[in-house]
Amino acid sequence: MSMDTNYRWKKTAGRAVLYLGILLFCFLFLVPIYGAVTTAFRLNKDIIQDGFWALPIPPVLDNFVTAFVDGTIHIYLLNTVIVTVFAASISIALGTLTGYAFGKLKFRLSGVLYMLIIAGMFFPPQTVLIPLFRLFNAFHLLDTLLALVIVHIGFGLPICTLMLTSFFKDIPDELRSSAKIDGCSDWTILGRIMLPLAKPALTALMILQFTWIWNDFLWPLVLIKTSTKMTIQMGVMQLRGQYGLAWGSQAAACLIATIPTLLVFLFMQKYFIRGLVMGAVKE
Amino acid sequence: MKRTVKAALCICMIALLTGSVFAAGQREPEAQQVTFFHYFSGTLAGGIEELVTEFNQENPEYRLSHTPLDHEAFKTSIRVMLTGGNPPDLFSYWAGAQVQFLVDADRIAPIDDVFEMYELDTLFSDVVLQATEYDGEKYFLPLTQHFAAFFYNKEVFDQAGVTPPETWDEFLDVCEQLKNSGVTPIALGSRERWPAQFWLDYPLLRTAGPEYRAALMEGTASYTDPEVVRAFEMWKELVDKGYFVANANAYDWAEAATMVGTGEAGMTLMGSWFMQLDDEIGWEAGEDYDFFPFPEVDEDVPLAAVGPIDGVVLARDARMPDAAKQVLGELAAVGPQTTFNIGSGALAPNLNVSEDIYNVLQLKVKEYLDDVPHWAFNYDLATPPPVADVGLDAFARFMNQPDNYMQILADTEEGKVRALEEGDEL
Amino acid sequence: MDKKGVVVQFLALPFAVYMMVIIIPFFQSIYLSMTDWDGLSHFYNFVGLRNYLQVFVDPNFSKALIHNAIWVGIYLLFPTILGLLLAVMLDKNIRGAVIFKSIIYLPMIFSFVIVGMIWNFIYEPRLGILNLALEAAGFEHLTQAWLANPDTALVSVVVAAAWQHTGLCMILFLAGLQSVRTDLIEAAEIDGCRKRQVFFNVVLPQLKNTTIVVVSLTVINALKSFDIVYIMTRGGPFRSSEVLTTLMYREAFQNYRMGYGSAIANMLFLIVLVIIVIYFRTVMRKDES
Repeated sequence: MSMDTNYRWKKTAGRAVLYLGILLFCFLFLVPIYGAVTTAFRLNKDIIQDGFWALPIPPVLDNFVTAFVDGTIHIYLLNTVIVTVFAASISIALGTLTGYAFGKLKFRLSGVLYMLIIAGMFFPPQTVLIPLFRLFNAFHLLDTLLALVIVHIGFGLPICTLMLTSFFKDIPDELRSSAKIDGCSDWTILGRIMLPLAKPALTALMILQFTWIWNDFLWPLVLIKTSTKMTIQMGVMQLRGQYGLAWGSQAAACLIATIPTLLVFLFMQKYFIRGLVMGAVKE
Repeated sequence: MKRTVKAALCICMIALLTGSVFAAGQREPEAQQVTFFHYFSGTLAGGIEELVTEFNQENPEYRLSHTPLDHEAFKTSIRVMLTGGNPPDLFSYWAGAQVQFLVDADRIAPIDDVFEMYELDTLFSDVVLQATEYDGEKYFLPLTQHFAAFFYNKEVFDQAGVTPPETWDEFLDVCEQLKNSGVTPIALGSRERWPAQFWLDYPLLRTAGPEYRAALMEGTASYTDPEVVRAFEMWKELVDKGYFVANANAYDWAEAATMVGTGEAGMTLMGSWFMQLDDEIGWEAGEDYDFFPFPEVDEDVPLAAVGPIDGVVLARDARMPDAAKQVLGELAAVGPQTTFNIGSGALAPNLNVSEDIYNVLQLKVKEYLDDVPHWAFNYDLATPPPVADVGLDAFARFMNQPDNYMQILADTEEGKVRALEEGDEL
Repeated sequence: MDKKGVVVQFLALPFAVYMMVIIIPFFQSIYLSMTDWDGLSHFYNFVGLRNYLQVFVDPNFSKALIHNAIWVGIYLLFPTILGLLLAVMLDKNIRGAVIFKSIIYLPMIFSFVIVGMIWNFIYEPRLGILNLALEAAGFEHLTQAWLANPDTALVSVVVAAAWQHTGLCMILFLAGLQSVRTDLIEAAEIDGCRKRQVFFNVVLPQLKNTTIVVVSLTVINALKSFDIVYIMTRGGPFRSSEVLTTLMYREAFQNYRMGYGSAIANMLFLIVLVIIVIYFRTVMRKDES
């Protein structure tokens, strides 16, 4: 009897500690976020006068209005959505191909080619700014959203390969061998068996790729000349002001820029549900 | 299911590809499009926006499309585009060593014909005209002329019972009195390094004179010369007496300006774009704040004014050079020059611009500049960029360890020599 | 061994794109790194390995390299372990798990512009909340000009970056935890193993591949960080928070030494490559044993 009560106490105590730990972390994490959010709701003037951490009472929407009216933020948002959705999806799709090849197929050059693709992550993109600019110039693709999509597919491939290779490696080989015995081609195996199992990894990748491509600033800066083709980060930069004192405007623009990625995250993270995957594997 | 999704994606990709390729081809609208990249963003957006709109209205055969960027982003972007062979037709730039670099690299085109056609020589002062000429040809169309001086909070000065000083000794007195009244005398926000440069520029100009400084900027004089040491020692005196705000490297220039605005500090040595912060700080030029030029130190040394001149240049590989030249000519006209400089704190280079657009302080600046015998570009625009990088680091270091100034100067000289050597090898 | 044809089918398209966007430009940048190009002029000279030799004797390079090493160290210690802990804690179906996960991941979503702005607010000497909090807690002597003090600038920036990176690690571990077999966990618990034993002996081994991904990304990001350093300190004050990427940017785009800057970038690439290869080899060898 006492063993049970003890156990129950331990469990509740354990839970409490767990909650406390999480709350503490979240609080620390929240402090900067609080700063970001409240700044957006205060006038630039007030931020300068009253400091950065005062409460936004009353909250002010001027900055958001400025962002939408003065800036061409809706165009930027649309452009960014187009580029991000295409680039993220395609890079992940290509990543499933490479992930499967390196994770499940066996061939001589596997290690070398794998390292070759992963190595794409190892250098800062500034290195290839000029070569890529020239390349797109030669193909008359400068100042197009397509150029941005292509660049992001190329730069997204390494991370997608890394994650999906690792994930496919985790899936037991027996699944593949038994399917092969049944006469399935590798394409069928990938499509019908592996991909459904890869939902957590695909979800994580979608979130990450979406975030990274959405937040990218360098490639639109260099590859886009016309204002109407710019992406959201450029819009944010413009509202920053030549002298960077426009804290409120900047924060508001940044928040607007953040909402889509947050939505994607909220939408996708429900795929991190335990049990979804396990059932299939057990069979 | 996955396969259908994949197929759909493939079709979309192909559609996007073909669509974009077609769009890329059809880039010839009726009006000729002239692209203009610049760094006049944010606060000044009003001025440039109107400038562009007005221009497009009055010149329907052209369509001027402009892209504002912040300084650093601009520098990266323009660099890549210039070398990639597909630059914007026009872009803003800083007169002085920076433009010289572009001229040397053969990336911008001379615009003597524009000057002739629009008779621009008569429109600008000598100082400004000098800023347009490089290696004997004109490359630069000026848009604004800023001036660096001490901007001070009038109330703070009144409360401390001080008035703007005219000599160095008076200046030291003012600082001491400000300090006694409980205020930090001088605000400096050197996080981006460049705001500190004026603290070398002016002391050096006031003691060693413009000719010596020109030699130093060119590289023929050394940072370890007694003239430079003296200038640093003047600066150091102020630091040692506690006249500067603590941790200057933690703030950027706008935050330092705010300190003056809120009354925490008395004054700051800054360019006249200081006046663009009026709305943010919530005060009025002339009413709440004023300026005074850097005080005289040695009465035998002629006075010089320091400031940047910003303008527009024409890319060598411009797609629409003729149209762009037209735009340039128009930009020199009274209309655009006026629109652009309203509220900028700067002076419009075009002498025909009515003085009505200037606020009290801008008029004062104009008056002062009309009299002052010499003009000099600020440090990072007067000396070649690689050397400027070394120098700017030195100023930041100095604010951090002022006692170490002799070593810092020696290191700077070394850095400068190396930077110039590497440049020469090209 | 699988048939070549199959392999080609899978790899052809990805590699085609990759070749065009990454490989060819990369080789061009290698060529650039062997010139004295200033990044602006029409002309330049081929100088062979001179830039690389200079890299070896450049004190700025070694300084930046040390800073990167510190970054890697901090990154491997804190955000990774924190991310793992958080993932484990939040993997259960406790109330509000979604909100907590979102809060931890939110920093990742913010672009570097806003991250830089916020942390400037935090580190500001007079009005920043860090110093205000320290004063309120009675630790006034610890207050600093965090970003202006050469001794604290680097770590201050790394902390801000780690704030973001934790979310990444958490997400990755969360994904990895989905593959961990609950039946094994249950079996171990039934056998009477304590939570810690269950974690270290049952869960962690199954997270091996995920851990490899997390460690790789952590090392790579620690070495490749640019935006956040740039916006917070630009590598200053006077290079005290300079990392290899900001050094490269400075040399290539500000000091008109594009060839030299490319050499720095390629050295960075080499360093990352060597580290990752060694890491993979070590991990694979453990696999076999």
